[in-house]
Amino acid sequence: MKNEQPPPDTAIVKVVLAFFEKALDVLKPPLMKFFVVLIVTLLLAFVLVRNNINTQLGFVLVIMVIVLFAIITATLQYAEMRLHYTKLTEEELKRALRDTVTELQAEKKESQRQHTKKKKPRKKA
Amino acid sequence: MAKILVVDDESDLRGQLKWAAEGTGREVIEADNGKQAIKLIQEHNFDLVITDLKMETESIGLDVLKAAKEKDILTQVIVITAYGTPAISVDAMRLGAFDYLERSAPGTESLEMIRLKVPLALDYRNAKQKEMRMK
Repeated sequence: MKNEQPPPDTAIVKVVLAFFEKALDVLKPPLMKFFVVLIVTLLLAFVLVRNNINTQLGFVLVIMVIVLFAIITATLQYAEMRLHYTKLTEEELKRALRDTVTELQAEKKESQRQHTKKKKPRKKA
Repeated sequence: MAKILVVDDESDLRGQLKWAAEGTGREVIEADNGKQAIKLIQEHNFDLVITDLKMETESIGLDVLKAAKEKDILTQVIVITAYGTPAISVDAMRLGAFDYLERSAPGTESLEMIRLKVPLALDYRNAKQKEMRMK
């Protein structure tokens, strides 16, 4: 009797991978990263305060983390905006250059066509 | 029906480009080197050419671009490279390329970009054709 093994269930793996892929997509914007850090920090602070480890230290840590990550997020957001603006400018410049080159090439072709027309010898009447 | 020429010496990448072009429902013809592409351009009329920059020589893609523009100035050309420099990019645009794209990785991002650019290039060609007829 053959010892047949069932095929590995790849569907679950695919679902898990897709979930993480989606989660990473959601976390792409810097602001989302900031919110995640904020939630984690608040949870941590809640635990610190609840267990009376050091309430003051807990609050100081929370404020420091929030300020630090707010600065990082703002910087990342600004860099992203600059990149977006640069890409838009690049596209505009490309469009302008494309139009100019097409017009110049059309003019060049036209003048070449006219030049060859002029060069043709006239037929004798 | 619009004809698209896809030029790349690497069959995998050419296949990806073909897939990106076919997604728009146009007839796609392939060439695996610059010389073959130039020959095909001389024999057929293409609305769009998508070419790799570096094949048998460093910048054969620019020769393909020149050949396409000499045949018909309305043929749009998208130049793709993995080794881009701003100077080559400007050269390509100056020669009349519709766009110059960098293939940073064989991932889907650059492929999606090409897929986006194909209908834009064909629309641009049609608009210019109409404009020239009006003139």
